[in-house]
Amino acid sequence: MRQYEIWVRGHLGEMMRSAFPTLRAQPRGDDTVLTGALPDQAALHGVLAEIEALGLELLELRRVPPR
Amino acid sequence: MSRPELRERLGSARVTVLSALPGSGKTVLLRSWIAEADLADRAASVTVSHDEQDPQQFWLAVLDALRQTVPGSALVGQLTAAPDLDGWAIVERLLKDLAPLDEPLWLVVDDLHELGSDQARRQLELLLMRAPDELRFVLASRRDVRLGLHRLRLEGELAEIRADDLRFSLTEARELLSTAGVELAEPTLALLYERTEGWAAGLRLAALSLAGHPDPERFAAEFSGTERTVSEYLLAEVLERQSEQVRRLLLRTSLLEQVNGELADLLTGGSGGERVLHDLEDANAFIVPMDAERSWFRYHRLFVDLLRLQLRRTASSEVTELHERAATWFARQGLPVEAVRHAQAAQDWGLAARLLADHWPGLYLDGQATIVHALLAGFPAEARAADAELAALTAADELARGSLAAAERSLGLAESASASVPGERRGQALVLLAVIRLLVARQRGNPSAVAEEARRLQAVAETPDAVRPGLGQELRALALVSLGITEFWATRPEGPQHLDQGVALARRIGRPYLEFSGLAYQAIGTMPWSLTRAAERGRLAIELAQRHGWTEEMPIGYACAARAAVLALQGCPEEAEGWAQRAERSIKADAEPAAELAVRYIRGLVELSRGRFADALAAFRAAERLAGRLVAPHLLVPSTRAHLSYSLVRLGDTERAEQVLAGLSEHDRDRGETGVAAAVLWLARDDPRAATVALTPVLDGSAPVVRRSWLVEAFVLEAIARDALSDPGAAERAMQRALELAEPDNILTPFVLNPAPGLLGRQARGRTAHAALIAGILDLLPGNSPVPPSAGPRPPVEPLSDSEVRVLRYLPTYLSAPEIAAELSVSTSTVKTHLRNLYGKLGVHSRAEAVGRARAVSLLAPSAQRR
Repeated sequence: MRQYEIWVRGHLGEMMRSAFPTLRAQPRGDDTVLTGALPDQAALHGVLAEIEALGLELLELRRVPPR
Repeated sequence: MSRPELRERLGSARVTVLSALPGSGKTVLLRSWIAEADLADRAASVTVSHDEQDPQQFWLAVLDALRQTVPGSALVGQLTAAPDLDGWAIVERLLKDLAPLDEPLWLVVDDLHELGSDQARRQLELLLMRAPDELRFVLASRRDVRLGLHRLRLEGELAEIRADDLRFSLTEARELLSTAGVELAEPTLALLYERTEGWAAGLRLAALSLAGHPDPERFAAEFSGTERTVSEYLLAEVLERQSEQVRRLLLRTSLLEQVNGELADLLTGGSGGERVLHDLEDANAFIVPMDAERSWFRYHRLFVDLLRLQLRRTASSEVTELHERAATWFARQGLPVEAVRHAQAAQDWGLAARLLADHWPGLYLDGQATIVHALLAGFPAEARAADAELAALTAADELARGSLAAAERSLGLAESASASVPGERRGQALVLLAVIRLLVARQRGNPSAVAEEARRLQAVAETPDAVRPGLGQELRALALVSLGITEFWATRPEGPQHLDQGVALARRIGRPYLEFSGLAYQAIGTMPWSLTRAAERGRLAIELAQRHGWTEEMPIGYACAARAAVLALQGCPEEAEGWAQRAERSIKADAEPAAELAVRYIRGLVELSRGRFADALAAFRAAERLAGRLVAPHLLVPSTRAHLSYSLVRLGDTERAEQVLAGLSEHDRDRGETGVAAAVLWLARDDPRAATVALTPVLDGSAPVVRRSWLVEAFVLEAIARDALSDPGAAERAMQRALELAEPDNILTPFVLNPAPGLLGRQARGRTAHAALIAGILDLLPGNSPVPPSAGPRPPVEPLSDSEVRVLRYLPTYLSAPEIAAELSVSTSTVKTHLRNLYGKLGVHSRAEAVGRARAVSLLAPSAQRR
């Protein structure tokens, strides 16, 4: 499992958040950061595909040390 | 909504790429561009299916769309789905079809990012690079797709439209809202515009929310005050403002890839769904009609993804039941792929498995193997192993993907699970299992296992109530044809019975690919009994192939080979040549050795019939070498060896001919073909007595022959030998018998290879029954003028395409090219292209010459019309 932080533009409401059940969504300023552990690259790309499908603007993606 | 600068750019280069995230307005722009530039007749629009992995399905959709355009309908040939069509071959053919294109034609591909097949993307790249200048491309995608576009960019042939270009200007935003009946004060509009940043989906959602809104100012203020994402905030607003009926319909039908009124009512449990769908379309509410009748619709991708999220959040307990209902509906409508997908989504594995098993033969014949693979992957592994039918289908899928070991493992699972198949499905499951076992055995190449599996299949397939009426018939037809193809290399006294039944059933249930492949094998398989019927079946197979565009598919090689062999035996080597070449092209060296042997053998037959004995010898030698690689006895092996000896005799090498005959196995030595070859050898050595001894078992039937032409030849040789032995009565009787046997199929070559003009002349004077046959033979003998007059040094006629034949039929009418074009509903330039090709193939330079030549080679009436 690897820990990731994914920043997207705008605040995600309940509907949008339900598209990322394994991640925690927290507003930071005008944006939202999705954080959580993903098993592998396939899972990560799955999340990115979801972000693309929902027309969200991807701002930043990084791997962070596990807490 | 007109956006002139964008539309301008869409037409500005040979290739235009639209690359932007969902909701940027790509699809809307394409639609309005096609409508406003009046391109409906010359723009072929294709929307790539969700996660398309199959090149064949993609290219069939492209061809279909191109054929619906005016320029495309005249140029692009029909291609019907079939198992294993090759995407590369389709693109090559498309390039050839489109080469004469002399007016603009657009290929518009939307959702290109869904094209998951790397092969298909490379094939598209090939088309982009090699297409004629008049073919223009517009490719819309959510993300940049790798297509080697940088080369086009360097050459100035690429125009790009990206997210920033698609963004609406303030003026355009005002226009969009006002089209939706929303007029806003300038500050309100500015606020809204700033918040959406000109994003198309945002503006359109806003327009939907604002239509008839009591307080647009407050709406805009609240909207711009929230940090929520634009799409989520506005979708909630839009849903909020719909009636309960509409909201319910939108949420529930979001599960579907496509929706119509009936299905909508089924999922909502209400009525009036169709009207709601039409209202939504009129309001521009992210719904697009899929047909001209506005019966089927699909939602905008972004919209449907959001709706699905909302449905799962608000009515998650109902989702399973909604999928169940959809599965049942699609199954009833005969749409198995959708039905299986919904049954799987409902986790009703039993229903999904039954649906897939019932429809597998049809899906397989429609070339949907990739989709079947995906559907199989949608089952849990335990379900695949525990269900006999699913395990059998898994085996077929693994076999198609080249994994024989895995296929055999799955067959084992299917075998052990078959005992638990319920009674009403058992017969059908056993047939399915037997068909797939036979396929696996064939792949393994073990002839005794093939024979064993064929017997098993025959036992289950011939049980009359094994398959249920309806869908089971597809399985049954597939079983019969597979069985027939397996049996066909072994000569059977009853003839290709299973093929006959399979072809008839395939025709009755409308499965042309099965009918085509069955007919092609039948063409060769019928030769031992009747050349006329063999030629007829070959002709039917080739006609079917031309109608459906399967002219490159392997089975057509057998049909061409049969036609070549028949024509060679009927004394028409030049006409045979074209078909022999086609057979050689279709049946490549990597085919099974038995197929290659047949092609080499027929090449030898063609060369023999035109007296090129050295070439014939080389071909029979090549066939003979292949015979050594066969494990099972083969229909053509004794003929090959006999002809090998026979060619050596003709070349004056009686020593080696004798060695060939002496080296035969006991089984081959007792064949009639060997007796004929020995008689030829003895006659060449001036020993007619020995010739008659060799012929005796052939003439009395104790030494069997593979087809009647050998028997004809035996009687001709007998006549020559008896004549040499000064027994004119016996000679005359033998020749009489030879003519009787030759008459029904017009077999000429044995008489030409063993010329006996004196004997034939006496026959002609004595009786008139075979006058035409004798005249035909005498015409072909040296010293007489050959028929047709153009035979000989002329190049062979390359087979004509369907369209060329259609044009050819008008040549004797003296209609002008434009008049022919009008008759055929094609353009004059198309007719001229066909004429050019026709003249080239016939090797002529004028219309009169073309008619003469076509008549000489029977391409024109009367013989071309024979049925």
